[in-house]
Amino acid sequence: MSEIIYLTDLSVITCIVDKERSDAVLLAARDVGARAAIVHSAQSWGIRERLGVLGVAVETERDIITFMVSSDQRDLIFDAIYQTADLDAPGRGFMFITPVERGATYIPEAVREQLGVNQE
Amino acid sequence: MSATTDSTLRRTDFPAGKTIRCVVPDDGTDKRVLAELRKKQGVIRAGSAARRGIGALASVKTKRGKLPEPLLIKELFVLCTEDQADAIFDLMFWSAKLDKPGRGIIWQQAVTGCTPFELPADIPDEETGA
Repeated sequence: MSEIIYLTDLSVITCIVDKERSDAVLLAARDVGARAAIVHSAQSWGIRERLGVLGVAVETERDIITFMVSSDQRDLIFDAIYQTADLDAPGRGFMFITPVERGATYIPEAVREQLGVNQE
Repeated sequence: MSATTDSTLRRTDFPAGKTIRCVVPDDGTDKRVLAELRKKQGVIRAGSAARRGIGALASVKTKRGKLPEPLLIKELFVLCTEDQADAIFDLMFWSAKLDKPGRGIIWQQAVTGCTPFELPADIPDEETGA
């Protein structure tokens, strides 16, 4: 059993957008360096009554997209998502960043050697 | 009782904690990890949910400018006290075999307050009946 390498300087970006925009958001984030994303569906509430004619045409199905990013990529990815999802327009969605205390995942052997952490 | 007293009581009752989340493949790992957490650490404030995982590093062919097909994954979540966090984090990491490639990622975040959660004592266990 090798040693766990704890990753720090991480942030989670959570983005709630229309389902139809989620692919564009994922592509935009990938293009600026996001390596992975977790997506799940959700239903928004309260928006249908406020937008559209009688609210009939307003889509309430949302995707919640979570990105785990390094702190130095954080602002770049946040800006890219913000622009792509048009979050400056009313009713489009919102996003937020939360700090991560530590993370861990598979670290390739070459990187472990660079860091001076030996595998058994 | 005044509003100030209520507020003070609430803060004491809901201490700070940690939330640990973990993404694992949809191959039963989540249930195994949850069982191990309960057995070894007595963790019951935990669960798992289905998610779609999209990895930019996935070794799949995609059309230029298109995303790869998402994978069905499970997200495990645990709420614990600050002093339990180290042991639970390490247990989840090894139990989910996250030291192997393509297995997932685990991360820990601070929680400013959380409610306690206890299971009723007089109801038999679903699996063992004990």
